[in-house]
Order: sequence, then structure tokens, then C-alpha cells
Amino acid sequence: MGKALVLEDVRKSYGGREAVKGISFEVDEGEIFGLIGPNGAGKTTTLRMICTLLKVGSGTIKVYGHDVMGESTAVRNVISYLPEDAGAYREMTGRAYLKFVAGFFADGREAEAMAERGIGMSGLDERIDSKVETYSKGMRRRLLIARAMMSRPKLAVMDEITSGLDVMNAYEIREMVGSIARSGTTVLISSHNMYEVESLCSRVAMINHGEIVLSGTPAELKEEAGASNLEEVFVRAVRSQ
Amino acid sequence: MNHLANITLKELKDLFTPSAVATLFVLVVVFASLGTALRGADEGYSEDEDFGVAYAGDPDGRIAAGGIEFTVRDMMVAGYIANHGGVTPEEARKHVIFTDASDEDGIFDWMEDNGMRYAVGAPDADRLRGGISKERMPFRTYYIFENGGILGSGNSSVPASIVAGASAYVSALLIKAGMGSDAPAAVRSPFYADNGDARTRVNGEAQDAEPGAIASALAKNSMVIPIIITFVIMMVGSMVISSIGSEKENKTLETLLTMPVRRTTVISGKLLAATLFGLFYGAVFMVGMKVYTNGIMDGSGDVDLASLGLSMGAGDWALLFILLFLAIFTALGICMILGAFTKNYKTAQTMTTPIAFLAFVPMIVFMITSWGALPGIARGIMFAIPFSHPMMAINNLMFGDYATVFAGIVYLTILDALLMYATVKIYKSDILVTGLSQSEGATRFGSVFAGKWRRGDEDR
Repeated sequence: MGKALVLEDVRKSYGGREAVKGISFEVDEGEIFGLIGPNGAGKTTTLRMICTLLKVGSGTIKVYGHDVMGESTAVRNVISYLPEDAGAYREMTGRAYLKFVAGFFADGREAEAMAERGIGMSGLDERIDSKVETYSKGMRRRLLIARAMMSRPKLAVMDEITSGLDVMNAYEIREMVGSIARSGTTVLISSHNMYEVESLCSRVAMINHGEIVLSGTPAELKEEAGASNLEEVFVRAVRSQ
Repeated sequence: MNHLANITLKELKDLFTPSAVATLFVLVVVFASLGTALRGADEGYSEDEDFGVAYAGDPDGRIAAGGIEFTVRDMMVAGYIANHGGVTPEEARKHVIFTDASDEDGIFDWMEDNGMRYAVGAPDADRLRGGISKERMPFRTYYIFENGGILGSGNSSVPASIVAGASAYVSALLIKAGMGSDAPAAVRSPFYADNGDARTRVNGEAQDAEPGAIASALAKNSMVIPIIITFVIMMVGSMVISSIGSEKENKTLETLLTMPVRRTTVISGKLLAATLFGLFYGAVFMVGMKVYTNGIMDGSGDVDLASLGLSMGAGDWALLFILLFLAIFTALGICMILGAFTKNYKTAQTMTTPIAFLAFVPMIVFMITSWGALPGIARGIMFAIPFSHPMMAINNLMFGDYATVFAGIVYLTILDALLMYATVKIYKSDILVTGLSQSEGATRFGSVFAGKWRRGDEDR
């Protein structure tokens, strides 16, 4: 199995403060990989570097063999990023928003087909022609996941995908992510929800103070820590730091 | 602490931020400096300025009429003193200059040669002898129009009050001599400045109008254009900053920047759309304001500016359009840079202050005066402010000051290129995503320009 994502000794500083301190991990093609850690641990910074939003301080990040620094356009062609609490253009309808985004990945009929695929994935039915500002948080999240997946990215990077959603919406979003991975897309998610990580991810890395402190499958991590769930693993790891 | 005080204190802390206080301080200092610098624009306008008298005869020759004796020089010097409080007779004599030129062109040429803006044509000796105490006699007024806007283009009250002073001098002599008359008005006020028959030389051509009327006619443009440009700059600038602030708040910008599109394309798209909107907005505003000012200034439009060469040809309009385009682009460049440092829609609103300031200062200045009338320091300040250039362009183009117009185009082009370079640099940096909150101030800000990508960043 090939590597979808490889990070080697990645560092990032904001001025004099080192936010990411030499982390390394790999994500296999087709897996759902979870990046967990407390607030301010460096998760979002890491995701932003992977998605070409921030410069890599030192070390290397390769997405399907493409270096994020030297080949950022090639990286952007194969990834899709969904930031935490992301929104869409409020004055656009859901359909117009998906068409707008499709225009960056394809032209003409291909773009039309991509937007239609996104409309279908969103499950918004007739509300797809309503303005985004009228959507509930769950509807907006479905639209954004559809936007992220309609281009059939090789790697989907999602930050706190169910943050702030009710039980039903969170369940549906998790179902969507599971289905995305089954279709062959590699998924990298960051989350505080340990249940979500345990139920979705095949492997997990825990980051704290900018360093990877644990990594493995949820089962391996629980066994190593002698814990009954991932939440306990997380709490013990943080307290021991 | 009661609830009201608690809330009020919190709100005051929100409002009196260091940046808000600093902005206010800078505003006061700059306006105060500008006021001092502009003083020269209307000083020298009546103080210590030479005044011309065209008199076909010897100004020191004695005129005996109506039971009194006087010289035309004494009479006019008295008028000058009456109009310039505190001036000594010796100083006044230096400033009242006589010519025996009698034809209009000769008088205007003499005025220009001697740097005078005001002159009157006095009645000749025979007329004075025959008319004193019998009729009120007119002094024809002559003006050299200076491109000084409302503030410094010339004031028809200057010759009127000097002639009134001269008239009072002769009247006093008549009354002292116990002169009665069948025409009391001719004793109380023997002379008057006939501004209804005023002649003004503008751009080498004489016009039947006093300078105030010409300045009013010019003001239709000189007042409208600065207002329009200020509105356009503020509107477009505010839109761009708010748009970026809103995109950051909704994280749509973060999403957009991870799509297969270069950051320079994102910047160019935003700039182009806002520039086109600004030009459209400006054109609509220009038509509306033109109709509006034609309405409110109707009545001052009896001066034929075109006959004086004070009109705009197609080439002039093209130059104005280029300046307007460049100025809008400058505003957008500044706003794009400021927008990069915003966190959200709310902070974006406060970022428009520098743009508003840069637009308001030249707007006020060019509504009351013109580039030609500005003293040196004020000229330097106005030239440096990018939005001055389209504001003063119409006036400069009408008066043939193409050097300033072209210098403005070159300046704005260089400035826009620098702003574009800085914008691209900033938008390629981390600051666009992180803002300055995660920075270490100047070190980090400086690194945007000093630092290069560790490896190639050509794809960005």
C-alpha cells in the first residue's frame, strides 16, 4: 500500500514560539487517520502546513509524493481541506457555491458534472437553491463536506468535522466520512471527540506541546495504556506530560 | 461598581484602543500641520500686495475741482491704507503702483509684468475736474485670474474697498470744504468700483467677468471631483477590506487558498473586480453630482470657460480616467494589505480609517484651493497623498499644467507597482492565515519581505 502522506521531522515556529517540534508520521492510502490532542497542541498548524496554507518551518511534508513547499499546486490538485467552523459564501445559494468551487477543478461539462455530484452528496434536495445564510449549521456542514469531496480528492483533510453539531447531524456527517473513505479517498481528521476518532479512524496519532506522544491503532493504544477507551488514553497521556 | 458603570467602562475600553487614540492623534497633528502649511495659500492675497492704478496723467499732479485740491496718488494711497489696517503711508505708497497705459491689453501686460492681481482704471484728470461733486464716477476693475480655487482666485471686494477708501478721502475733503451739491451721493461717495464692467485675464484671454464668478464656474468641477473620488475610494476600500475580513471570519479564504488556484490569481481577481466596480461607481456618481451641482450653482454659469481655453478635451478626460483608475488601484492595494491583517468583519471596519484619512485631507484642500495656489510644503504633502492626483487633475488640465498630471501618473504607477509587490508578498506569507496575533511584531512582519521560501514557492 502506498503512502498518501508523509511527514518527516516537521517544525513550525511563530516568531520565537515553536508550535510544532519535529513531528513525523505517515498515512497510508485509503485509511482514515486521526490526529488528536488538546487545544493549542499544534494540530491545526500541522493540518495547515499539509494543506499548503502555512510554510513548513523545517522538515518535509509529502502528499502522494508531492512536496507541499515546492509543488503546492500539485498538492492542491489532490487534496481537499475543510477547516474547523468553515463557512460558505453566505449570499450564494448552495448550488452556486458548489459550481463556483467546481470551476477551480474543471471546466465546462466536467465542472457541471462535478457540481451535480456535490449537490447529490450534500443531500440538501430543494434547499440547495436557498441562500447559504438560511442554512442550519448541519446543512452548512453537509454542503461543505460535499464541496470537499465532489472533486474526488485523493486526500481529504478535515478539522473538527462535527464540532457544534447535534447528535443526528454528527451521526450523518460521520456516515458521510466513512462512505468517503470506502470510496478510496484517504482521510486525515483532527478531532476532540474521542468516540468519533475511535469509531472512524484506523490509526491515530496524539500530539501534545507540538510533539507526537502516541501513535497506533485505537486498539493498540488502549492496550498499551490499559485503558477501556481512547478518552482515558488521551487523559493519561496529557497528564503524564 | 454598579451595572451601568461596569458596562460603560468595558465599552470605553473597547473604544479607546491604542490604535484609535493614535489615529486621532495623528489626525489632529496632520490637520494642524496642513492648516499651517495652507496659510500661504490665502496669505499675500491682500496683505502687502501691490495694487495697480491705470491713470492717464501725472498721479502727483494736483486736481482742483469742487472747491478742493488733491492728487490721484494721495487719493489711492488713502484708499489702500483704508483697506490694509496698520500700513504706514510710506509703505502704502510703495504698494500703489501707477501706469499711464490706457488700453486693456497694455494694462493687463503691465499687471502681469509687475505680479499684480488687481488694478483699477481711474477717470482721467479732465473727467475728475468736471465730475467731482456732480456725479459718481466709476473705476473700471481689472483682474489677473490666478488658479487658486475658492480661497485664492481673487476677490472683487479688494478693488471695491480700495476705491471706496479713495472715495471717502475725497468725500471728506469735500465735506470739510463745506461743499454742497445738487447730487449729495456724489459728495458722500464720489467714486465706485464698477465690477459690473470688470475685466479679467485668464490664460492670456480677457473675459467680461470678475474672478469670483470664474472661480465659481470652475468650482463646479473642482468641488465635484474631490467629493466623488473620496466616496469612490472609501466605498471601494471599505468593500475590499470588509470582504477579506468576512472571508477570514467564515474561513472561506482559508478554503479558497487550498484549491488549485494561485494566490496571485486570488489577489488579481479581487483587485480587478473592485477596480471595475469603483470605476462604474465613480462614473455614475460623476453624472449624478454634475447634474446636482449644475442645479445648485445655476446663475454662476454665465462665464464661458471654454472661450478661455478652460475646458477638457478628449485627451484630458483620458488622462483623468487614467489617474482615477490608478488612484482606485492604490486604494485597493492599501486595503488588500490592511485586509490581510484583519481577523474578522468587525476588525475590518476599523481598518478603513487610514484610507478615509488619505481621501478626506486632499478633498478638503482641493475644494477650497488648487494645486497652483499651494505653498511648497503643502504641495509636497498633497503630492505624496495618492488620492490628491485625480482630485486636482481637472483644474491642472484646464490650466495646462500637464507636468503635474504626468508626474502624478508616474508617481501612482510606481506606487501601485510597489503596493502590488507588497500585497503579493503578504498574501504569500503566513500572515494571511495567522494574522499578526501569532507574531512577534516587527521581526515577523519584516520577515515577510526579507524571507524567501526555504524551497521554491513558485506554485503559490
